[in-house]
Amino acid sequence: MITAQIAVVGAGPAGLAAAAEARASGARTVLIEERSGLGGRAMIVPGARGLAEGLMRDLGGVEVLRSSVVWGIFGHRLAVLRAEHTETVEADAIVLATGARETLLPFPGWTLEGVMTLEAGWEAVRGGRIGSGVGPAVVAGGGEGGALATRLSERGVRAALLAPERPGTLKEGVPHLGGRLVAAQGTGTVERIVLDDGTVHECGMLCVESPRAPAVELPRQAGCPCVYQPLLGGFVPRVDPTMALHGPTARLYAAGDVTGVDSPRAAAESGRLAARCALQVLGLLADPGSKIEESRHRLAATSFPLRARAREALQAGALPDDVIEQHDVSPEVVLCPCVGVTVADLRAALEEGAVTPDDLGRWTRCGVGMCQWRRCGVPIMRWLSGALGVPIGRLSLPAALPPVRPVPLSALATGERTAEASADAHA
Amino acid sequence: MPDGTEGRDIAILGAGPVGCAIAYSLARRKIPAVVLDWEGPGGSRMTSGRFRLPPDADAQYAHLYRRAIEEYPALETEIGSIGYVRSGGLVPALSETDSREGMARVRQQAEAGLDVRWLSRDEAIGMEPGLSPEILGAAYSQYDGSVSPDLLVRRLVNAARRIGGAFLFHCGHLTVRPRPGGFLIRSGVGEIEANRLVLAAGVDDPDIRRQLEISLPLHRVHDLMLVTEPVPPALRHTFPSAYQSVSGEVVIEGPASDGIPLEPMLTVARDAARLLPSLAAARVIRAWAGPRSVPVDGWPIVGTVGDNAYVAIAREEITLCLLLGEAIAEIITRRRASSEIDVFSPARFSATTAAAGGDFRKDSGRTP
Repeated sequence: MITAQIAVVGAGPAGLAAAAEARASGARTVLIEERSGLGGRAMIVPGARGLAEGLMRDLGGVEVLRSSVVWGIFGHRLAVLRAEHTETVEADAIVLATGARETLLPFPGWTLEGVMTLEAGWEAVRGGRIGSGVGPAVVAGGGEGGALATRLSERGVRAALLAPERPGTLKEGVPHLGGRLVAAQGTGTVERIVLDDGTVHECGMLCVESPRAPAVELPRQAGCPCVYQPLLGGFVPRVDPTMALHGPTARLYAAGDVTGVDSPRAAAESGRLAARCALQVLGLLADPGSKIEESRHRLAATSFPLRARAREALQAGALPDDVIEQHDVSPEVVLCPCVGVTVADLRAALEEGAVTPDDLGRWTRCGVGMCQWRRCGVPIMRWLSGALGVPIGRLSLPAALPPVRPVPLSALATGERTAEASADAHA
Repeated sequence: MPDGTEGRDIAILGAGPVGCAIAYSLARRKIPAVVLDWEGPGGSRMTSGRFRLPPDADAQYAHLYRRAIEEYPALETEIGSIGYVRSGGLVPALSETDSREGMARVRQQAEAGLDVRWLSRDEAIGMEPGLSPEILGAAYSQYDGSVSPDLLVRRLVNAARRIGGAFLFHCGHLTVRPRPGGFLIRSGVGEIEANRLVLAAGVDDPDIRRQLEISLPLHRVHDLMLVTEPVPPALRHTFPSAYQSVSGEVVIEGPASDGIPLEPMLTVARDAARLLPSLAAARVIRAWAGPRSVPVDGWPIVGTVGDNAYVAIAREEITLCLLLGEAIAEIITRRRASSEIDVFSPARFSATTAAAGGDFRKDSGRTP
């Protein structure tokens, strides 16, 4: 077991800043990141790399666990999958900086191989998995999409951008298509796309700019309540003005995009704020009053104003307006790709008396496959809101069960055995 | 009164496999009943789909077990697929003590009329190649198998509905008051009047039992379940700690303590990986733990618990739910149970019954 005063989960801008800040105050700090590299999304998509690299320079003295997946949170203990073992990290305070993930919204053909988010497209580019053998690629999106299409084209991929108008990020010579995406088609893998003007385009890789939703599975598994705030990307866990999560566990904090999607710089400031509040509670922060106040100001200054206001209102206890999501998808569209559950299947279950996502999960097995709602949760909740005519924030969320990532049985079985566990086993 | 619940003779509390089976059995007899549950269809989700023969089953119980299993193929023809697999079951021994006890159990069960036998280590591994070479032998029962609890509940609900059953899910807080000639049930979805009440909610109904001053000798056990991703056929048989469902998921079961489920999760995983090393690479995708109320003596409780009130509760919920459904329907229509069910009546716990030597538990000398 690894022990620390502050454990930080996630090494994007928020987690990096939180860990650096904790370390600067002399706290024994552990930073846990599921990828092999630090920086999170900031290293993948253009624009925030410098910020992340700057923060990484301040990590001296922080114990950094890379390629380490936090799969569960049990009080102040984190269960971590590391080198095929389960290790536990126990800390006096924990900062969850798990970020947000771009989530594809269903359209006909969205589950075909080769259909992905912009984030996944960038990751493929950075991971060197892109070459002239790929494609042709179509990127659907605005400015960020233009940048990706440009990069793909530089890598030798025949690429085009699908956008209402040509953005400045799209290099001369990379074609631009007007119109709206209607469907992706192919056998197993995407082969072509259909646009609303009826035109069909050959396509072997389709990147669709999609909304980013906070990755809330860890706070939810810890029992923290969430509210739905579209301005912040969807369901967000409730935090108080010190970034402490509501719920059963004290000294559990959240920071960065998991508390509401915002700019990378705001995420870093939010990480700093959460760390400072945690340090204060642990009695480790000199001059806490003014430091926390300073962090608040900087967070407000780096946030998008609407998002800052939405976050502050939530922290003050206000609940966001009810939103009924209208999500028109045809009956044959698959909403749960892991199990292959269609809109028609879900509708049949509703007619038989299912009401909640968990009811749907039991009867259609949606959400209970490999992704455990991580990929299909947002689409299914949006669809359910429209189908029932109930505001999405009033629907009950599916149960958040550990492990929040798949863990080989052998890695659970080789978990360290504590004295307490041995006593249990013999009781 | 919520739509469709008017004039319901019987209210059943609990929409798990037992409550839904009772609803189906009553609907087949054209008795209008409504099932209510705090949660959605399926109830507390603490039901394993594996058939379980208690280690100390006697002749009486063995007979019941065999009958219970035989209900399933017939039910499947009636209401559609419920993921029933009669795979046979193995109970491997990992120590000399396990072996001795296992062989004694096999002898006892064989005397009780069950077709069971003791397998040597090699025989067992021959039948189930994924088993650990550490095992010393295994008991084999041809009756064991599993169903999908979710599919079973969905089919029972739909089948009961088609012939007049009604279901109210997500009822919110329930209070039950006796009133002349019946009960008044207040719920988050409205008031329901019923002449008779069936308690089939297992863990969720202590509150209701308190309201009605019904006391049953139940205790709480905490079960834990780990579920893997769907994997290619990995287990041919059921095991006390694992089975593979028709959808390919492996369900791993074990005890949990009351508190934080991390240690129990690791322990249950360790035990399963030790017994079935072939499962090591399967990825666990969800786990949950929760309490269940089970009769202290280990045997089902089914029968009358007061004026117009009935109870059906069992540790082996999936195994026995269809029989419990039939038993309650029989008791309600004929005012009495068949003798094979009657021994499981709650009356066995009353002082007078015990004093009169009618406590079947004492005679058979089982320990809880």
